[in-house]
Amino acid sequence: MKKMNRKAYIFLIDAIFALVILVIGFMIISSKTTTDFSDTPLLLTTNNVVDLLSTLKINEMCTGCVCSYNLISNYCQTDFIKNKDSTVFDYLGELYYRGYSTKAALVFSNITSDFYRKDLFGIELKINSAQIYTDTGKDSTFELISRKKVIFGFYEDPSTGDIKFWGPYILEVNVWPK
Amino acid sequence: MTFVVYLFALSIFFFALKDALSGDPKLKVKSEDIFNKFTGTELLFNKLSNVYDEDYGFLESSRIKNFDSLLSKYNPIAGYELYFKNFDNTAFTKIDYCIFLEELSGQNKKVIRNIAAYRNGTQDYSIEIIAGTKCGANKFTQYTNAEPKCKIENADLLLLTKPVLFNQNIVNLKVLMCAERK
Repeated sequence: MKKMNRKAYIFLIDAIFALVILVIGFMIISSKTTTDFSDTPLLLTTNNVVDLLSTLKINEMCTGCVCSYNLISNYCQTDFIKNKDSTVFDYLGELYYRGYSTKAALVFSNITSDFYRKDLFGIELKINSAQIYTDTGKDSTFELISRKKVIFGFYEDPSTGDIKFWGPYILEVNVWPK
Repeated sequence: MTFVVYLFALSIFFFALKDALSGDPKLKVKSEDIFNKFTGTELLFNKLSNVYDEDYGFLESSRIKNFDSLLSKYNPIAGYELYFKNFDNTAFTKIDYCIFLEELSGQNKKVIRNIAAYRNGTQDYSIEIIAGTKCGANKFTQYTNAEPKCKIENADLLLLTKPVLFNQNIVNLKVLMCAERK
């Protein structure tokens, strides 16, 4: 009987000890304040980039080969745009397929540079996991928002008249605060 | 043996606690008002994209269409009914809205087009202002450096932005809300 009583005391002390530890743990966790969440502009910037470039078509920015961006006009006149009825994202995919990743980076940075603040945000563009364009600061960021789209398309090769199909590729846009 | 297991459990607990508290938390909880700004932006621009009115529908996804023909027929009270009525907030006595298109770049970003919208009977607007429909011509908003600003005191201000295509150019579609608290 005495032995049983001693066991009960041990279990009681054990339970109280565990309870104290749990209470201290929860007190520490609940006293830890969360830092201010600053990524609302980040979400909006990401959505703006993806929404616009996935709906905007090249021919909507141009009349013939006269476009609102000089770079696009230049590419149009020098036959670097095969299918003007494609969206900007699709055009980037077309350039990637044809081996002009540098030109794709230039188009992306040219169009997006005005609608996000380069001093506040960094953007990276990847197609099929290959980095096409990136700003600095990605490695040191704690917040990053990623959006992915599947892109595919076609264009006509004027020399042979063949229709070339490309894709599907995964296009990825990553945005982070600086 | 029990004591060893007990120590092991305790060590796991403290190990997990240490990891949870060390450094900057990776997952941050957003404050409610900021979250509302994000969802508000999404909802508002979705609403503007889904105005099925021949004269007043001007936004299609990321494109501005028929804005100039809209301006010729526009009435700010009808604009309010179609665009903003669903976002009415009883915390405010008056809300003025200004929809404007602004250049993306340039030192003084030029406002290309603008229209006002407001509730019927809440303002003493003159006939000229209703006919002109310019934001900045009414009591609540004015232009400072070519950009509409909320000019009343004790006002809540919200400016929502979305890049869109207008006449072959990418411009910013902005909606300024200027609300007087009760």
